Amino acid sequence: MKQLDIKLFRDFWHLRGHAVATAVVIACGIAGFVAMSSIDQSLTYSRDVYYTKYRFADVFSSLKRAPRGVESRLSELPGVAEVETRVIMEATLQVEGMTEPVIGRLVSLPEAGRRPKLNNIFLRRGRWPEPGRSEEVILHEAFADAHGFSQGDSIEAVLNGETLEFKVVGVGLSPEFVYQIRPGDTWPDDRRYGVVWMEREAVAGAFRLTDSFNDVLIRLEPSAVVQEVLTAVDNLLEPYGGFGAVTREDQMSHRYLTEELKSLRASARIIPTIFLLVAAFLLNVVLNRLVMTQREQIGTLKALGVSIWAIGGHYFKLTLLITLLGLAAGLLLGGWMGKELNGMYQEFFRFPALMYRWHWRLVISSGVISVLAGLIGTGWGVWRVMRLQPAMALKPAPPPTFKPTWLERAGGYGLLSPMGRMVARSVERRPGRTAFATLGIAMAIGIQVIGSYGYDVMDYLVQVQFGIGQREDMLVTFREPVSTRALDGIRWLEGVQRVEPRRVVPVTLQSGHIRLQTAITGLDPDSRLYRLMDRQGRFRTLPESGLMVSTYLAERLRIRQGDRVWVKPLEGHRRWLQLRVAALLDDMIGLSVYAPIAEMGPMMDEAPVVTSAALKVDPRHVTAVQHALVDQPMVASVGLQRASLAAFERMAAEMQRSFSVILGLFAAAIAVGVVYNSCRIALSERSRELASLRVLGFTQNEISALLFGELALQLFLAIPLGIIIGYLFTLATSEAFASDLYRFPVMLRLRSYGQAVVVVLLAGIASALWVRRGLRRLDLIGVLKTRD
Amino acid sequence: MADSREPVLQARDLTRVFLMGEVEVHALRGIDLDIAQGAFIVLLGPSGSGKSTLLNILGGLDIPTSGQVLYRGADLSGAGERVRTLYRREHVGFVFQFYNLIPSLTARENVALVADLVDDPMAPEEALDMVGMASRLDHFPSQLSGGEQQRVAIARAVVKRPDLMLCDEPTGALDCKTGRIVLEALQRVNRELGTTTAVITHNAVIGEMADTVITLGAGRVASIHEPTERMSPSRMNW
Repeated sequence: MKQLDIKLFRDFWHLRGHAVATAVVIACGIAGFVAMSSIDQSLTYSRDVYYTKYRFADVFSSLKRAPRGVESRLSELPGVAEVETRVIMEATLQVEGMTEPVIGRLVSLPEAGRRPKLNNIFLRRGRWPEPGRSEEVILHEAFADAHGFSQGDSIEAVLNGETLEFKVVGVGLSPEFVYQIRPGDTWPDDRRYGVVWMEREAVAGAFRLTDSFNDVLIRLEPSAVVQEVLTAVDNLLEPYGGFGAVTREDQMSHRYLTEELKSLRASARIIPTIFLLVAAFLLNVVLNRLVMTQREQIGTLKALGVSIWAIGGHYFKLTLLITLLGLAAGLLLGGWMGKELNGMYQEFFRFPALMYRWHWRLVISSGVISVLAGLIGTGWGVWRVMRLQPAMALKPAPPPTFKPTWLERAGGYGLLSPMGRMVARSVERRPGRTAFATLGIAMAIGIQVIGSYGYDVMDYLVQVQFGIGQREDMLVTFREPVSTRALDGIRWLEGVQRVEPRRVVPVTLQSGHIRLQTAITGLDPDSRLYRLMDRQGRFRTLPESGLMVSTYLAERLRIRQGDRVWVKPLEGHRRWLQLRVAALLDDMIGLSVYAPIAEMGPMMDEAPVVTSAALKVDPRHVTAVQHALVDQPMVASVGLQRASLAAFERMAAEMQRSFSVILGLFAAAIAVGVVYNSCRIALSERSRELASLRVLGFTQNEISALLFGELALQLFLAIPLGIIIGYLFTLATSEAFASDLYRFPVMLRLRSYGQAVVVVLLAGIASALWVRRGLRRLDLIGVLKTRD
Repeated sequence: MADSREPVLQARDLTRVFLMGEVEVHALRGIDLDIAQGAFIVLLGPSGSGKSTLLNILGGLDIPTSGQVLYRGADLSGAGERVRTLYRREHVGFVFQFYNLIPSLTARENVALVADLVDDPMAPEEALDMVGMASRLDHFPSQLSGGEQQRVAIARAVVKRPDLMLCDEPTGALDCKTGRIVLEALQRVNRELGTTTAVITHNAVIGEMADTVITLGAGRVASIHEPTERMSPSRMNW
């Protein structure tokens, strides 16, 4: 059917405007799918290879202190394949150029130059420390990069009050720190927190843990029953102050990575679905119009004996051509976007090599879903072409029939001008088309809204959580719980304006068979530096007695306000207690449990003690106060809240902005696609009417009103609908992305919605004006001589 | 043309050349014509004689390659799109072969749509009554026969009290019986309102109802004939 194929390409050329507008929408959907899926695949692949090659452990537990002899008892537990014990402590590092102290997480290396059996180190640069050289260290790459450290540099460190000079001999990575974040922190901060690997004897000696360990890594036998191993490990480590064994799922770095993959997968499903449905609608409209104008050609071809399959195939091929154009552009665009975004992920997640790769199956699935969209859009139209009887097809289509609209019948006749009635009646004659076009434009607004949501929410989180909620300038963490009297020493430091005590106790919570590890934070009910807030930014007060639990945590434990929950402190008496959940807090970060600090003593059977203190400090004295505190042996670390925020904010904002820009462009593509196609079709359907009106003396502007009346109605309806869709999208996103780590509030920020509406309207109006050029080319003379 | 009445339209040495691919087609080769106020003119001629081209130029839809068109002394031949749109809007009523009604508007609304364009229109109902369509005001075009649609189109042309009615094959798509009714409507408008009317047709019989019959051939005026007696359309047969 060669001649028919020539017609195919000519038709395609004739429809090039429609074809491009539709293909762009398909391309956006496919690009989103390819980019998100390929990053997901790349991260997953890089992770799996890394975990296997560098022997990432299956079970993790930290403890107060156990003698080395316990190690062999751990290896004998059923299900345990390999055990590695370590000493991990935090130290203060003096980094040149940093006024505030930097926290180093010191991780011991096995003795005698042995490589770690589990959580092995990938050495990016340099060499391993030589046995016996206690000053030689390997730095985590993220930390080294943040400060520009390389081999030969030295760093001064304070280990338990003792000053040591570290010498950097290598820069490396480990599967346990793909995401380098300090336990208990919400954001990573590579400038103020870094992992340092060093000889075991050096760390252990400084912290009086020689011949002991305080951290365990376990690799499981393939046949191991995970829960049984966890229980056995907990029982064994209990006398040594075990904080409870966890699996990879609760390992910090792994959890962040998993959450990210989860959200990528969600996006990879949602984005293409929206775009391809819009594309299906566009294809449907374009094909129907084409068939309408080629009705007689179809009749002629059939009359000449061309088979219905050849004719159906002809129109399907046209759809396929548009779809394939979009698919090809989408694959290229998606590949490029994926590669760029993958590079940005390297900032967040550190792998030996974050290789960008995509599986050929991604091409197949992209092809399948785009052709599916084409079929959904045009299957019915093609079928109708095939069914059309040649005799019918050769006759002109019956004239369109109209009737007064419900608005006129309901007494609103006088409300509309004749032009208004023309628009209203044609809308009512084909309500589906108006509805879909409206929905398409509304989707574009919704996508724009969701694009800025990520950015807004980050901004909000930072402003609310740290601007209004947590207002301390400094958080001093003590090595061991100290008596409240110890705070007096801090209170008298020059520049310290307020000191608020905190008592944090790591605990295991249990309800039914669900068990979770978290910590109870004892707070002063009148705290001014730490104000409890819910997701919507409302202040909440701590109950007089009992616990205040994150709503998200309560949902995970399936408990409600007023219930009692089993709590086992992981220090002190370590007995199971039953505590009342006095209030729930719908908060944004972490799995938090709060209690009045006065209740912590009785709960722990101890005199009032504190584990950390929040400080408000005169800005002029911040540096002096820091240094004074760092030098005290009881102080484990001094953190500056604001400083740590800025770093993460920059990184997250950059990422969010990229997503926001991409989604913005995608949304504009939908708006352009829908508006261009519907205006072009309105122009083609109404060209006779429009030309007749021009002959009768109507000006170009007057008939533009008729051409764009329907569009104006669609845009008018799409704005409120788009706002609702945007809101629902944010609702769905905030639900879908809620995790142990963050829960984002559903936000309706006026500026973002306004911006979304304006961008979509501009895109729409621009494409409408582009189509309007066609009015100048109307054939006024031809129209007088032809039958419709 | 010997007519005491003042000419509404004058054509002076009109030519129109179309470029069809690489071939020049001379549609008009020098037409001189005066159309008097209130006259009923029939333009006759075979296909390709240039009668539609002439009508388009007289109606401000097209401009001549050379020569002049004067509407009450004002030159239209060099006028821009805006001036010609204004001319059509205020002075010309068109009737087309295929009616060109707006399918989504009723008879009354089709007429009202155009009435809104001018300052002092007739009532749409009155215009429709003149063409005998008073009983079908609220019917949509798809509910009307061809003849009825054409009468609505005439009402639409008449409603703005134009100076000039230009009708391009108004009966071309109609049978003889319906055609007669349409021509009667045109004649009535011409008589009662004094509207200058020009009708294009290739049907010579229609010439018998005209004041002046102009026959075109190969882009030139072949003959001008003024029948002594104007025949009523009801007596025509074709």
